[in-house]
Amino acid sequence: MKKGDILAGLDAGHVYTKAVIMRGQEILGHGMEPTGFDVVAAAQIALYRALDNVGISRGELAGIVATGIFREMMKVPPLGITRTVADHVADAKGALFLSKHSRTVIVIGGNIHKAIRYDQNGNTLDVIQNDKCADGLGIFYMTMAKAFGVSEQELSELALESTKNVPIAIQCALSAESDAIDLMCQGVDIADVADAISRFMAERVAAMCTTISLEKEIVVAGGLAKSKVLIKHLTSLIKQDVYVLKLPEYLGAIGAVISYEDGK
Amino acid sequence: MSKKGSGTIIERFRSITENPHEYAKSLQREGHLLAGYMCTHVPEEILYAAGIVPVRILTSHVSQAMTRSYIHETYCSFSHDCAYQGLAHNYDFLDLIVTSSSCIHMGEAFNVWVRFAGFQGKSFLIPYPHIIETKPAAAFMAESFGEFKQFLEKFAKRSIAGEDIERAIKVYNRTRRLLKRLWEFLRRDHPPITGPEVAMVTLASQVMDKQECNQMIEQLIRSLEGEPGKAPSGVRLMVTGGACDDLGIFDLMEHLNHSANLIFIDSCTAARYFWFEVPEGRPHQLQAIAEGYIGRIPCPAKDNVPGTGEKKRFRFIQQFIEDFKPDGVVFLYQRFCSPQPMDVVALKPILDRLGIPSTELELDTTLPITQFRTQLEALVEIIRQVTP
Repeated sequence: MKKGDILAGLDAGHVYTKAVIMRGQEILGHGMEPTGFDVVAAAQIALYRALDNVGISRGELAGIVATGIFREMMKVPPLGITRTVADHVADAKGALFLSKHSRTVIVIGGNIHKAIRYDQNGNTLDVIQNDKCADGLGIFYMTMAKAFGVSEQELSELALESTKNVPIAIQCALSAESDAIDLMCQGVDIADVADAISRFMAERVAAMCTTISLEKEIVVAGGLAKSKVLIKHLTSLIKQDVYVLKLPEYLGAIGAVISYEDGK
Repeated sequence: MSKKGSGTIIERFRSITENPHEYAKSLQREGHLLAGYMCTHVPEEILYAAGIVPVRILTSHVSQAMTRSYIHETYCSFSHDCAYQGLAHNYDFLDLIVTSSSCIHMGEAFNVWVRFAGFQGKSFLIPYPHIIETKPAAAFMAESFGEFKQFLEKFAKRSIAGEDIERAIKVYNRTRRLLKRLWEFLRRDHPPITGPEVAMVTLASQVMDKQECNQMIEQLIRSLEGEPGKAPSGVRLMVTGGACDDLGIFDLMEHLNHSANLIFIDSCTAARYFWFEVPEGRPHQLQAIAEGYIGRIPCPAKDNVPGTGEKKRFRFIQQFIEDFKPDGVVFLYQRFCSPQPMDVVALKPILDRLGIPSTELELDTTLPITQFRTQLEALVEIIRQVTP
């Protein structure tokens, strides 16, 4: 591969598979697809969406770099994966690429949330990942939005209108969901329940962050980083400013390409 | 209830229960030393004899995840919440924190206070025998209490005489007798006080200076004796289980769609706290305290009669059933407190034999009111079919 080659990054996560198309340091386009059971099919759809977004063909790609929890499952002929990169490596490299002063990234994804501290070259110094009871924050959020009959974005916006602090159980997503439904049965304002849900998620992420040294600047990525209310609660709980990265859900895919470029 | 007579005193107790920190600080302003204690196996009498007021650490009912980094996820929410009270510095004003090696979960909450909340130099862990129903237990406890006494003498910079401990034993026994009398009002068909009110007074007593507490309960009892009973009476519900300082659940029991009354609570935040006495007038007060604490209704975590598998607590429960005549029993325990639900397995057949229906409610930081209401109303429905 030579300078100016176009590369694709694929990040197959628990909930969504994301693809980006990059030329050097330039992000040309992106696309995503729910991962479902057929990871390869989801990766192909995400990849073609990204290619369509840029307006180029599959044949113009010089290589594909894969990351994410399902990265090994994507190493099959139809995709022609050039290399795979571990999640935390891709996330750290991607976060530094997107924010050159950052030293810690908190990634809040569909099933896993993690915090990674890295040096000025994006080399990982420390990683912490959620415990079992805090698995599935993103999936929980999607379930709650469905239960409320609103979109995920609407749920976040509703929470911003909350005027009352109502508690929900913090033990795990299941008990939080059970409590949230109970609050609805009690006739509690939907905005307050939405806020309680967001605070529950922020509490879990903040609790995880207490076991890692959060070096400034701290950036946040993953699909849930798009929730303004979640970021508001997180900032208040960890008592530090956090910045949401551009294209937060594509961090892994971008980082995969950057890691490949760095490792050439 | 009117605000006159018993109503005024009950409101005072309620205010203390709702604002325990403010009450404790008021004692401190009067010059009292304050010790937080995390388990009812702590012999409060020794603290009191040293001129220190014991204040039970209860929960804040704040839903938080901060403690997940300090103690294990599958420890009960009561212990998580008490640990949080330390980490949130809600009790920084306390002079001392004490617990006994009785409940593992609360032991971890205690460790959090000691290691991370600034109580390292002002804490004491009282070694407590794991199995109480053994011959060496009393001597072991007396020795532990002796070490605790020595620590307190050094801490409070005063010696604790036998008469001081004897006086404290008498004050505490007085509290126990008064609380017992208060609960016994609930044996009546139309008591002048409700179960949730008695539960609230009992909870307040755990954070109060016992002399003040005794005066207030005495006044309350005098007042109640002259008051008419409340009507109508409904299905009589007894609670058995673990620590619960969320009074909302007891209020819920009295506000179902069917008439129901809470008439007894077997838990360490209610009857197990006071339903025993320490022998008075003994030459060796620490031995007497050990004897008293061995004789109390055991916590399920300590209820083990070696070689027999017998549960001593069940004898008490059967006696309470005989005396208070509940129509139904609610097993109310903290999620993740293993000894409590394990007891349910053995207790339920006993209740079945007695023809007493029961249900189980699992406690967390929050109360799922509508879910609990559904379960309780189902229980009351079943009872009404059994005893129309």
